[in-house]
Amino acid sequence: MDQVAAAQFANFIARFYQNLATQVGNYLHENIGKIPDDSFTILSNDQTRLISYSNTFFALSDTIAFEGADLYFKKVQNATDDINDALKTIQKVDTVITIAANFIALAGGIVSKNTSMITTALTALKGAVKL
Amino acid sequence: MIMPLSLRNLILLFFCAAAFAGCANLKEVNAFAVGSRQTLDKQRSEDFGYYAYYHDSTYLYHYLPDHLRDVDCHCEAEKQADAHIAGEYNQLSAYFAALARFADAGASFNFAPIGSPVPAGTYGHVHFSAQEASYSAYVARALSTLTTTGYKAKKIRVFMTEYRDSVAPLIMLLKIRADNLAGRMVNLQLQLDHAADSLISYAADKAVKMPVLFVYEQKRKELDASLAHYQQRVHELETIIAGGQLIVDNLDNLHSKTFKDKMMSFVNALALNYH
Repeated sequence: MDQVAAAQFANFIARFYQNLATQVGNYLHENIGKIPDDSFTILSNDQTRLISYSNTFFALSDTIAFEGADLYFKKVQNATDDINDALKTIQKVDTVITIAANFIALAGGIVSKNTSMITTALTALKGAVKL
Repeated sequence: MIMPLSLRNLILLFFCAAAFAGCANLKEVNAFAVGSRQTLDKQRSEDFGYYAYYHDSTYLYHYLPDHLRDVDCHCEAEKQADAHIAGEYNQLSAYFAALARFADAGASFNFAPIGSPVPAGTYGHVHFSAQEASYSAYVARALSTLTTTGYKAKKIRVFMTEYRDSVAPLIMLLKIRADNLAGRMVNLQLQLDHAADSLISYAADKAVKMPVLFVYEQKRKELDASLAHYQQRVHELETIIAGGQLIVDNLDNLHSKTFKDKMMSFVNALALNYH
């Protein structure tokens, strides 16, 4: 994977996490005062972590790449396309919380270059979207 | 032997046409190079960069400090990163000035000092990879060759080989970097929304809500303006990349009307943004 391709993937994944953080933010904005305080706190913290990971990916740029990264990045890219569509229709707060948590785990896997963590998080995400 | 007048006129006409066609062949390339240079110079002089971003992010991501010192910005390294990025812009601007001068012998430019290539390293939160540093060094070397005596004898193919090997990747990396910073500004806005939403919804004292709202609206407008500049910057760099690629792809076809029309569409797009 060359430098430009790696930097472009980092930008793509950073934008994806930004999109997730925006959706969680919109959800909170619409439901603040309506959802239980503990759910608000969990999602609010998750949004902060999603923003933080988005910033991390923007900063990592080309240094995101690792040996054999192409294969895992392709899997992540495919999963994000499917999940993006599914997210638009999710209304239940518990599902939003589960998905956000799994995305945080996925981001941890990418940042730490841990391939088994990436695979586990992707599998969990596919299950969570079907909830 | 005396040449008939009509034949002499015909030969004269042919030479004039050839000379005119020779200039006109590169007129569009010259216009594109001039437009690209102006755009790069404008972007280099814009004042919102990594230093300004980290200054804002220091207090926006820590909006309830115990002390003012908790939100002090230790951002000197980011200032240096901004200077290195300005250096890259300077190199690219000099390249397009050289290309413009080559494409139109009558054009004259004052070349600013090109400066040293950007060294690899990490400056606060900003990383310059070894590959990026090598592109920058390559552009610096190419510029000294392209702008020294005898440059007029060089072929456009030489200019575009340098373009393909080092100038284009460096512009692409600058574009990704600008897009990354634009993305981080969006995150800053999300954080600002998040902080304002929480403070307004949960403020114990209702009187606090109005100042929070007013400061929020003011900062939001400021960030919107900086973000718009960066989105514009990304768009302009994409136009330069596409225009450069068009020349590379048409090196044997610079006379065609299709090429000239496409080239002028890039020139017009750059001019529209510039003004």
